[in-house]
Amino acid sequence: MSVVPDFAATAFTVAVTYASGPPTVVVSGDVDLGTAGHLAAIMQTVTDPPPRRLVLDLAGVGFLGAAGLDVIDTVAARLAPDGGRLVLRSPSRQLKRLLDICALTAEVDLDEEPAITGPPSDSAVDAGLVPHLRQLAAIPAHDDVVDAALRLVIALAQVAIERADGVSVSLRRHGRLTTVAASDQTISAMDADQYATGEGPCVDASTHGRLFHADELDQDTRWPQFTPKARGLGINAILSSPLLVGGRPAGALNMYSRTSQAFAQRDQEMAETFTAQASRLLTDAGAGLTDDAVSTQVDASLRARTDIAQAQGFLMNRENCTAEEAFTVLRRLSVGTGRPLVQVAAHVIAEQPPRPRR
Amino acid sequence: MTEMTVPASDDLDTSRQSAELTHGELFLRYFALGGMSNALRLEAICYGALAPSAHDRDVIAHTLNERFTELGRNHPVPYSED
Repeated sequence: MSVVPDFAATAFTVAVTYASGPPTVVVSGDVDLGTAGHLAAIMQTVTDPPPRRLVLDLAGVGFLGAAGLDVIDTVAARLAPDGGRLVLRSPSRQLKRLLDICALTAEVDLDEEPAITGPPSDSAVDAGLVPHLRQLAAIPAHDDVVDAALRLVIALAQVAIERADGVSVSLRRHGRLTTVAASDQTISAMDADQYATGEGPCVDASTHGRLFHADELDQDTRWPQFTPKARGLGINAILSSPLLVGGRPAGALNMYSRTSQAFAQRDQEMAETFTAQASRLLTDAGAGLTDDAVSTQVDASLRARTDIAQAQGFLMNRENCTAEEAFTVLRRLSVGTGRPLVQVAAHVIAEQPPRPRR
Repeated sequence: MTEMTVPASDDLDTSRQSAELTHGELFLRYFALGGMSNALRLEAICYGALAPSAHDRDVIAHTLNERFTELGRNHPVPYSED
């Protein structure tokens, strides 16, 4: 499953009613990176001053991701000091699990009376999750954003694959495998064990770039050091799917279950969908290079940048101009001579007269 | 950094794709040339979601044009004086 179908965006609308009872904010459409800001702005207005009860009606919401969770968290926190409560009306099953995973359940009240109007429920979990995956693919890449997105991958994986009791993402960074996101401490401890012994499905998936599946751990002989530890924690099935960055194995999405044979073919396919998206995210982040290549590239970029800055400084001094004007001089020379700007800069520096002796 | 009224367009992202650069690769090259926006901002500028200053746009244009030269092609991305 490599192609994500194109979904037409549902129109995003927010309506606020102050009829009898607490103020109610009715949202329909997707609450994602593009629309969460609007919702946040409206919630800001409605919570100033903070009411005792505020209802957020989500019956018409198709997708609500990390940005939407952030809005919920912020509003709940804003109401709390005065004893106010945010009520989420008609949250979807997926949202309830996400709230649980992000430890927000205690911060809000849930009102699950059937909505009078609302969209038809998703026929399959898949259909509900594809918009999430599209969103992930569109997230611009930056270290902390990548980590946050990977945490969302985990949350989604747990929602999608019902019998996963724990999920984690391992990534090779600076030559070492580390767990960059995990659904709980037990799981990250188990990953750490694997890294320490160099043995386990997560290590294998990250190294060989292949899916590793243990569906009955007590019968599995592949990892003699790792298996007893996992069984000791009550784990009976593990699915590790590789994360490929630039086509090369760089990590794994690991799913653990207390139930043996928990992961069926469909779950493996689902895992592959997630890893495909996560891999794309990491590749776009420029992590498509090996560690060595990354350092070399970054080094080269820094050196070039420093040289160019030095040439700019020289020109600014000589021509009494601004840094931007100096850049324009270098740029025109580069275009005119057909030479890369960094080379032009090197010549400018070389031309610098030696400092006069005192 | 002052934002001037340079019209935002999505030409930059089309040029980026034509130059066969990922966002990450574009950023690294742009950074090497002294670009001052961070990767996130650069991507937003490429998509036309943020209007760059004239200078910033020139740095991006030159980043792309140097890449086009590497590919044996001309300088299709205009500078602010063009």
